[in-house]
Amino acid sequence: MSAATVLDVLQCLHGITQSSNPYKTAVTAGLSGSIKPNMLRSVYWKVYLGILPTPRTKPASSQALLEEWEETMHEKRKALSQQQASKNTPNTAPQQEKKKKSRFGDSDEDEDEEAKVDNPLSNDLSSAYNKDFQRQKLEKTIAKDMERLWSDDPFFESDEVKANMTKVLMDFCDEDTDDESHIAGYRQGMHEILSLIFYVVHKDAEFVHQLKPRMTELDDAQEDDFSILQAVCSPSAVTQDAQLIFSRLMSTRRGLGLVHWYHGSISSPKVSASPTGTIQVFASDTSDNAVVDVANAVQTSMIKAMDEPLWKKLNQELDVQATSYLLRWLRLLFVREFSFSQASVLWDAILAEFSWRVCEEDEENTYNIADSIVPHIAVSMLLFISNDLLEADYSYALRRLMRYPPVEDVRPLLAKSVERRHRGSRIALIAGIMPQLQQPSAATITTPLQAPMPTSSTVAPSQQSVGFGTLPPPGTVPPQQRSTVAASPSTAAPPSLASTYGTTAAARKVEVESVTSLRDKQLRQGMVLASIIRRMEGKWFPDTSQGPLTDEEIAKSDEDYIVAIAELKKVRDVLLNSVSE
Amino acid sequence: MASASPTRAKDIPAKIVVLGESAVGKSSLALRFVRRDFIPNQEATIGASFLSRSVSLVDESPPVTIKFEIWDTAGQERYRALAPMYYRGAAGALVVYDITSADSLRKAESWIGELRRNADPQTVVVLVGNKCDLESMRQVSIQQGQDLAEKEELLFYETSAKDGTNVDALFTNLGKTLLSRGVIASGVDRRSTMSRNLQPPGSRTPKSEQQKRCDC
Repeated sequence: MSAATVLDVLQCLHGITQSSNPYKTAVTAGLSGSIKPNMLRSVYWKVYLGILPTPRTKPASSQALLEEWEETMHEKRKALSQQQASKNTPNTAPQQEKKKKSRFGDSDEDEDEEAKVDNPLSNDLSSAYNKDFQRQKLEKTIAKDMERLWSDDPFFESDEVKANMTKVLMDFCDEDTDDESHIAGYRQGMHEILSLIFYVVHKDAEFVHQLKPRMTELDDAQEDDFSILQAVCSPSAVTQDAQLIFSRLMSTRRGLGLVHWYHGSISSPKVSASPTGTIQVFASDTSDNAVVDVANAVQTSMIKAMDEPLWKKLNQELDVQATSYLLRWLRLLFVREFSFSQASVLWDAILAEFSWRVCEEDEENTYNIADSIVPHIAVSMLLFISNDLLEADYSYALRRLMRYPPVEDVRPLLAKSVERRHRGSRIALIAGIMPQLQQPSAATITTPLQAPMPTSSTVAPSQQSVGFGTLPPPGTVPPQQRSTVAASPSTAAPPSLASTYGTTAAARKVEVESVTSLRDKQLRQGMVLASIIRRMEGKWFPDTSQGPLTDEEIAKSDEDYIVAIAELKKVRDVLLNSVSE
Repeated sequence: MASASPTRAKDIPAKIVVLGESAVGKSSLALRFVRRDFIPNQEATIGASFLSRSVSLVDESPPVTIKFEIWDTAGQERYRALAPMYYRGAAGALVVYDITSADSLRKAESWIGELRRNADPQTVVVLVGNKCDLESMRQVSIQQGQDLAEKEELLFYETSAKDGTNVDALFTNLGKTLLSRGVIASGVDRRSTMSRNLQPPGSRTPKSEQQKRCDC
């Protein structure tokens, strides 16, 4: 990321604004996982969430579009400030307010009501005292979580950042009470959603700001564009921009409605999954707890369609409660399961899909996060650790699910999810968007994988004919990770989204099955290796905290060791095979 | 089969649920017991987390090993609706408050009430006043904790997840109580009374019955 220059950043921006279809270009980048760190991710997010107006046809000029963006951000931030100013009535002085009211005689309320509003002993939730009390309580609750948010990260240690994030959450709670769906209130986890947004917006602003001294490298037109970029990603507007994004992400009306997954008792479309693993939505039904339904659908019907042994293991043998780990995966949109930069890549696709569906289908917001790529990402995550889970006992399986293993690259996982999402979608949502990435090398790999792959019977034919946009192959993205996994030479291989939809249905089935990106395979093999290492270590470094091993246990660990060596040989064969190919 | 910590043949599983207000130290308490570690500013628990540790009780006759399977829940009050999933079928419940917060003791009382109403009557409840290393900030006296525990007939401990005070003692004593009250039992049939009450024995083998027990 240090290599990115001021020209790179401008080029990235122009990649959208000078495109013949800026909107589609942006959505494609998100779904294909090709937005690089420090390449204006927050701009993409603003496009996806409808904060920055983005045309579907070639704009009159890139310059004009950029000016519109600058203007839009300016207006939206201004509106937000005004909204806040009007809301911020002095909350410590309800008495004064009353006086003011009577002095100006502008109240239509009858006296009784007025008295009730300002009575400190009133139980009325809308009384000024009560509101103030609730507000203080809320602030305390948020502060408690903010205090311990990513305490190992210097960025979030800053009191200023904490204060700004608290402010956004407080505003969200206020604003929310006006929402039609009467959803109100902060819940744990929202602060983590906001933290990723803050981080992404801040990083872009900081990065653009740091490039300012290098504007001298630019010609006049470029300089103008860069100035606009500075306004769009302004360091002084980080809080406001994060608030705009957060509010869209949560909002039921104009956004993804993530709030549904935080508030159990609100009504939301009932979700169940069909045998093909497609989530069906019955808009007329209501559900007590949307996120619980989605968690259950993921671990039962969706997994059953993809990997029956895993389904059996989790639901019958171990009887793991889906909610015990999936609540966190889903509510936090995978923020805790991956590094920030990896989670951002998943979010690119989540937001891009939202954007595509909302804007493409109709004016109404028919998007339902329960029927989005999000559950498919969760399914992919389970399939990726399928090997580990299949051999685990209850405690180990739970620990694996509660602490998802670090992955080197999240894009193969995303590619699989996009593919399955696309296949199972009722309305071919990603039609014309599914990027056609280089297939030659990946398509010829047929070596069976260790982990169970979707069988042909589970491949639902796409229900509509699908067109393709073409996309230049995405560049390589250096892995940005908190994890300690060493970067492997595979970084050079681009992720492959194996799109085979141009072929006949029968041929497609076979190809979908056999085509797996090299990275995907490497990742799986790496996970198999991790599991082998763990068992081999168990032989030499047994857990003796509970006393010396019994003969039975020693015999078992010997057996494990032999099995592990056999598996190791299989990994060797798979890797050698793919190398020779 | 491979697992980082295989269930040993003699281990008696005991499902324990940890309840209490947000930020009283539920996760820290569980982590102290299981990993003998303390992380300041432990992140908020979303959903729940699961930890397990086996403890040998050598002074029992015959000596037994209890495998504590600990469900650490999210503290925020608004997530309470999900709590029954974790306390149902639990052999023990730790209701945790923070001795530097009088409010957290009131929350603990309401948790006790909820357990009384909805949990299995055999569930052994322990009232835990955590953060006892912060003596200078104390808002709840030991007496207050003891009084509440006596009134409700609970076990009571003041602990510090930070320095480890009383954490092992709490679990050891809880284990002994579970055995003496017959909530969990050693022997050939290791299914506990608890699990039998909740899940009528069907075709399950004792082994799967045990596993069933930990996640209801």
